[in-house]
Amino acid sequence: MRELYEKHAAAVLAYAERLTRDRGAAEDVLQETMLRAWRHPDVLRNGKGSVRGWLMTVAQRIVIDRARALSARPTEQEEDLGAAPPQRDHSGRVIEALEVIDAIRDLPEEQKAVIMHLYFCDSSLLDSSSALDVPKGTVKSRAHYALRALRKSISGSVNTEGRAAE
Amino acid sequence: MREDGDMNLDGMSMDHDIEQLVALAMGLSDASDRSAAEAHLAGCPTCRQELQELREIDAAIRRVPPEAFLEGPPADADLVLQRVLREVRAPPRLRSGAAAASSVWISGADARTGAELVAAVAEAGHGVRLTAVVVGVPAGERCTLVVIDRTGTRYTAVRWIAPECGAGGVQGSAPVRIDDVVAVAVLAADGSGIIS
Repeated sequence: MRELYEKHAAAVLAYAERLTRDRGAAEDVLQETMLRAWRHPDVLRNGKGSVRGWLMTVAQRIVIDRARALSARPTEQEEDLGAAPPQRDHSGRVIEALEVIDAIRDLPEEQKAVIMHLYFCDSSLLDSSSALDVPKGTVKSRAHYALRALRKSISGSVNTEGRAAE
Repeated sequence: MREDGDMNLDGMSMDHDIEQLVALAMGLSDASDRSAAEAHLAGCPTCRQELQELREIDAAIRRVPPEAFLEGPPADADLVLQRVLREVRAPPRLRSGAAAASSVWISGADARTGAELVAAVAEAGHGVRLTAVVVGVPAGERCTLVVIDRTGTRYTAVRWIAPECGAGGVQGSAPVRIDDVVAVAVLAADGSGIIS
């Protein structure tokens, strides 16, 4: 449990904090997420490296469930327009996207750096090229290998799940 | 516009430029690359299909929360780990009734005051952390939860004011090693024992 926490808790907590906009609530979500992981040791043992995606998906579900429970409760809070219920469609797509996390984390360092710059640092091609100290063409070709690798590992995991469900 | 769009209808041309497609899917192409690629795409179903798949991957990456790439434990939330560990450890110990453990349950009732106390005492760092439920205390009473060690020294774990309903859950901690804890007590404002 400690190992799981030391590896993943920062990511889960920061994500929960952004979703809830409340540090205390985020800590509760982190706690509940860790407890669910402890009750599902099979998830941690299968060793396919999908632990973080699983944890973040669970954290997200907990936040959504709590928001629904709050909005379903008939109280005077109904006037609070700030607490709009989460959209089902959007949340489903986020969960699906979480499968990509481990695939990105598993990329070779050079490709991962390119993906992190282009997607998560809001860098342009030129910014990424100077930050990584490689020509723009190299950034593009690394992005190309990264995208192909991601597609391969994602379609691989989808196939595996399909087989497991049968 | 170049002529080779027509030549690619058979899908066998050398002009399928996957790198150009990736750049297009990711929005990295400049205007001239883009118009060249679009001219090719207009006549090449293979590349249109490829572009579609690359765009799906691109969209999936864009939906990943950036927090997913933070590593390590939170800077200042070891408390949550302690809470998790306590919850993970406490129930089996409660069932087995083991006393000398990293988590101990204490309960008691006081015939004079009618108050009841249930407390979980868990190891936390170099001391103990307490989670207690206290019932039957007069509303408004200023209460103190104390931990008493072998030497008889009292350590205040938490103070609170009893709520209207008379039942309150509190949490606190004390710098006492768990093996040295001999009692947990709730004291009233005047120092008299409500329960121990």
